[in-house]
Amino acid sequence: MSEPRRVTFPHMGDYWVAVKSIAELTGCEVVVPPRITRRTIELGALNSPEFVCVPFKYNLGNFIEALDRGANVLCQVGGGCRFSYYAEIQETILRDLGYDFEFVRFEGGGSILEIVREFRDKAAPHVSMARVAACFWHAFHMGEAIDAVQDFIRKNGGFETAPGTMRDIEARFLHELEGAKTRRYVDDLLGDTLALLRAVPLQRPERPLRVQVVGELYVVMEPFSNYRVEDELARNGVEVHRHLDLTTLIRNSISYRSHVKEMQRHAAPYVTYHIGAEGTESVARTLDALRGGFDGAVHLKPFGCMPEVNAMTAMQRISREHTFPILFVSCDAQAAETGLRTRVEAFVDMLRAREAGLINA
Amino acid sequence: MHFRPALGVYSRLGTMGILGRVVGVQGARIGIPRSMFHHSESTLAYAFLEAMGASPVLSPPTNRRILERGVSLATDENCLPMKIHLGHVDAIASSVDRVLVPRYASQEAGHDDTCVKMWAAHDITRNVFPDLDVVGYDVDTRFGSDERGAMIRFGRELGVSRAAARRAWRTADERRTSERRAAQAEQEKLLETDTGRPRVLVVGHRYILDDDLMGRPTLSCLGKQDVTVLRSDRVDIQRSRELTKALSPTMKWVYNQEQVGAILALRERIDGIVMLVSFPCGPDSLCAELVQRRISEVPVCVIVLDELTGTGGLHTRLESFCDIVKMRYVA
Repeated sequence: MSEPRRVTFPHMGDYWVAVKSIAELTGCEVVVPPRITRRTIELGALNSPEFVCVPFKYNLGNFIEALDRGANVLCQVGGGCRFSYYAEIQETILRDLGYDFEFVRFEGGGSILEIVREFRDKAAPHVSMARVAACFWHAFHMGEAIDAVQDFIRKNGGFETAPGTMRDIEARFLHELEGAKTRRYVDDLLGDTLALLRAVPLQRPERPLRVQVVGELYVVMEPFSNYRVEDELARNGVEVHRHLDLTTLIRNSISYRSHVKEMQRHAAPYVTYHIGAEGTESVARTLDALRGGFDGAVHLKPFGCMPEVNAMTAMQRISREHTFPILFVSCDAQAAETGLRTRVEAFVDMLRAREAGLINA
Repeated sequence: MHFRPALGVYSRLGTMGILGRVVGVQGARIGIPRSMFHHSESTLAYAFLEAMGASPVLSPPTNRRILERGVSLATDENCLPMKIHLGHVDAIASSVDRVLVPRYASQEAGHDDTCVKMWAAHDITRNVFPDLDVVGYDVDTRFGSDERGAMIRFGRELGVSRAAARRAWRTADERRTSERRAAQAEQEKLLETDTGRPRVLVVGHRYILDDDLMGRPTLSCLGKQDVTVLRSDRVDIQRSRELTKALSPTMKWVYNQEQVGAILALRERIDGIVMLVSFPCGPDSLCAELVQRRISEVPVCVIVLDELTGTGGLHTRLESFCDIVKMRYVA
């Protein structure tokens, strides 16, 4: 290709800020795909296989929009289920659509360490390994900052006296993070942001409702794809907890085997064997929430997600045997925000009624 | 909370011994659902139990009642074979002491494995039937448990000696191999002798092709269409898998490797492809797309199976597809 290489990657939540920094710091030109809109998912769904899971459709939509903006190097990773086969089929579909591009697939076997090496070999061969590793480390640090800020907002955003204040602070934080070149800058920014967040006036009940969010990684982390269910829970005055975020996922992937075994121990006796991707983890975290005195759980997955449907059988049994409320949400390409809003409101009402002792079941 | 070993072979037989229930393999009625792994590993488990002196009980061929029970028992987003599997377990649950549902995760070293439904079939069965004694063995080479070792350990847990379990495994494995070879030889003979008619390759998971409600209607309808019907599971598996790797290096599901490989192995000798895909099968959703986009010289008909059992629409589609195949064949 004689043109300059312009790298792009699919969106997931706000992590594009961190991913973009890896590419930029290693000297690549980056085309960040436009933010996910209805158009993205419509483009993706139009060109995807009929009953593939919905992250495939979002990713494909991102790629098409980025290609239309001049990107010519597409990056895709892989995971423990159908995700591992996304790259090849997406490449086939995009070539059939007539696009000209280079496709970089990071196999990595789910391990970030492998991905670092592959990134250097495939995307930035002129840069030293040490420099690439440093860039990844910096991006990981940015990811941690994003996770820390968003975790705080999930747990406290429901009790703001002026709703929306925290999201404004978050937006400013992300904007400034985009220019972060050094670790110190990230640390300072995180410190300032958390101080601002802590200063937001809250009206917090003595014992707020606590809900654990579990499920498939993409729809959990991409708010557009889960109809912003976490914001919806917060709007109803719920403290939202979530184990799964990008940096946790990366940490777990480094110690994959021991993590799987630990999750199996947590998920016993409902899961004997690993049931794929985040399936075992969903069951384990639901049980943790039950033991930790949470009021309920929300399970998010793309329609037909294999590991999460496996997990659902166990979670339904947990819910039945321990009368533990779980809201199951299946996400697909249609817009269903109003329907979801009604379900979340009804779910929270039910939690409150249980809390007040109005219903026993 | 009752502790269960995280990995490796699990069965509740040990605790049953402490509770004083009779443990022994002689005459023990162990149910085998006629679904998923029973088809994909042919008669392996049945022959294994039989050779150890147990009395394996196979559930009846799939019928509407089994399907209806399965659909009502399963979480609705499960694939059709999983729903049918649960219907089969339900059909034998009351007449056996325990039900065998093994876990097939990966049979050979490397990254290739099965669909995660296969990983979870054992746990799904246990969670849907909490009062049923579900036993199993874990075949997962990535975690150091191969089929032979896992089954011998399972035999030991049932109370037979190591030597007897080994013998039983050998008998069962030989039977599986000879059955597969015979089926392959039969198809090879068909390819050589049955000439002068167009050939249609039916592609699908073994547990779909061998099922009375999923695969049978398609196979019998094609049988009446004056075409030679070939099956993707009657092609040399190893060769199929190698061929697939050349076309699609990152496809890691062994069953799909076999199917796509069968198409590649026979692509010059066939005139049409009928793909049977169950809704919403994860691997097939992508593999069917690959076949439709990469195999252009042969007409492909993808049939998505769901829990509706009406065959009128199916017959119309197959007949018109065969008409196309025949017209191209004459031309």
